[in-house]
Amino acid sequence: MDAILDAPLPEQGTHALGMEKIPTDFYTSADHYERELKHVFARCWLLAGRASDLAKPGDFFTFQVDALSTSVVVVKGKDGAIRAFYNACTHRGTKIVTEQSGRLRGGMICPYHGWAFGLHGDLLNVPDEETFGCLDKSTEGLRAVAADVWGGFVFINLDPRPQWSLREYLAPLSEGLAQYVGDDQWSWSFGWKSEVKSNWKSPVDAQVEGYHITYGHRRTIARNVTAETTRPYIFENSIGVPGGHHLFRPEKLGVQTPIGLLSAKFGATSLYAEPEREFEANHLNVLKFSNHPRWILDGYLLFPNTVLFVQQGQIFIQRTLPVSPHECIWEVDFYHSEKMKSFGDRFNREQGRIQIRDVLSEDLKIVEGIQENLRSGAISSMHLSKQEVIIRSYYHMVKRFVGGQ
Amino acid sequence: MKEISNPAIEAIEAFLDDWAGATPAERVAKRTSSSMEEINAFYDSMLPWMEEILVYLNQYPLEEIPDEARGIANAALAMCEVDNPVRWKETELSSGFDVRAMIEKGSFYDSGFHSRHRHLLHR
Ligand code: FES
Ligand SMILES: [Fe+2]
Repeated sequence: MDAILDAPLPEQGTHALGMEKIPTDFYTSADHYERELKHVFARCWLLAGRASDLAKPGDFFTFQVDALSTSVVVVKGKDGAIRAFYNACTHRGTKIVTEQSGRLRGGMICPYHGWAFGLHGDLLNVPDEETFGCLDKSTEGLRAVAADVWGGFVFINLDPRPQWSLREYLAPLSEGLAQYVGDDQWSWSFGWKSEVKSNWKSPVDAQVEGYHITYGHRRTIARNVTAETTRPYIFENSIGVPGGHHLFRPEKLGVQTPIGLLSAKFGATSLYAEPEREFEANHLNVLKFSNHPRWILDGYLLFPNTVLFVQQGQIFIQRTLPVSPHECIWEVDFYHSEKMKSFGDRFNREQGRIQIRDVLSEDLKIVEGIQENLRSGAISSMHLSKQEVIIRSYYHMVKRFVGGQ
Repeated sequence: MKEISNPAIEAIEAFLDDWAGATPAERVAKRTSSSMEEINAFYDSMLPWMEEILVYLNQYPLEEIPDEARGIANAALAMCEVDNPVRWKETELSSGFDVRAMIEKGSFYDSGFHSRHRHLLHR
């Protein structure tokens, strides 16, 4: 443990992937956008839910990709396996499940004419079946969608034959990370969603570079997290993980409000203050810098649309989904490992929640402004520093998928 | 455990009607509809009592906070809401996205806008 405390922080990024400028039509072109839908969203593994929400047979949740007009239902079978299906009745296409999540009793019954499907997707019963003539129920089960679990999260893939297993896709992520985020201790605490007037990749960009923190977040994170204390790295040969970063506190913290300091007495989830309380977190020691006294979190970009932040006691996930080249659905979700037991916990959670909300609000305002400017044609290319290398890696990955490079 | 008494004093009591919103949305609404003077008045009156309030409330399991202390608990949470505005010297962060358009999700699966929330997003 002490060896790691003495270890110098890694390099502040790299130019290993080159230094050329990035064309802005990456964010504005309608043609590029269409190719992303077809070659990225219809082929990649997408984080859709949490396996622990499918504890018992019949437990289900839905996942929607509006831009592909696609609704998927993910359900736990009697055999304990997790399966995903298009949420579309094979009679005439009605959405079978209309709730976002819940538990099915026995099976799925289409609300239009009552075709009944089992938890494994098989067509069990057709009212007045004889009126169809010869209907072969054995071939009219729900249409399957690939689903698999990593780190306690369920991913789906709309490719009828996914090119890579989920494990291959996320290959550079460690087994230790999968164990840490996959632990049963985590439960969903809160989240926000919004429609944002930016390309779906821009909010991702904002969460994978630390260069903007010092200035862009000067009114929130102030000097408690800085560009200088973020350490990005890339996975050059990964299929689905362009890169990640470690985030540390600066040696000297910046502004601490009295409320922030009070909050810090009760927990570790605020980025603003050093926690006074020791925090229990199973397996956290598997992360490279988690013993470091200034370590705050690790972030990972899970291609194409998910940023996963892992810290003591808190997991934070940002996802975006495309609506048009210029609009996306943005959402974030927080998981916590410890239940709130006292009001101090509640106060700490609320303080951390509001601080991160205000930080995110700065990111969203920035990306909306960028989209406006890119649409105007004011600039036609972008520069990327070493600290923004994950964006370059991400760019290359998108280009590889859409076949542009 | 020795009962620690409710530190509410008149100076705070006067703010509870307005500032002790029970939900995050209510507390945001109160903050964004208030003037900086009102926010500062609330903040300045609460702050000297905050430590004592937290000690008082923290003696109860979360589910067992007495009804008469709910107002003061919500007001303490509202202090988290006004903490940044006091520092910014503005009721809303001019360099931020409207936080009222960041819709609170009800679960991980409460995604998207194909449902009932679209009307909330006109801003
Ligand atoms: S569309 Fe489902 S039963 Fe008719
Ligand atoms: Fe940011």
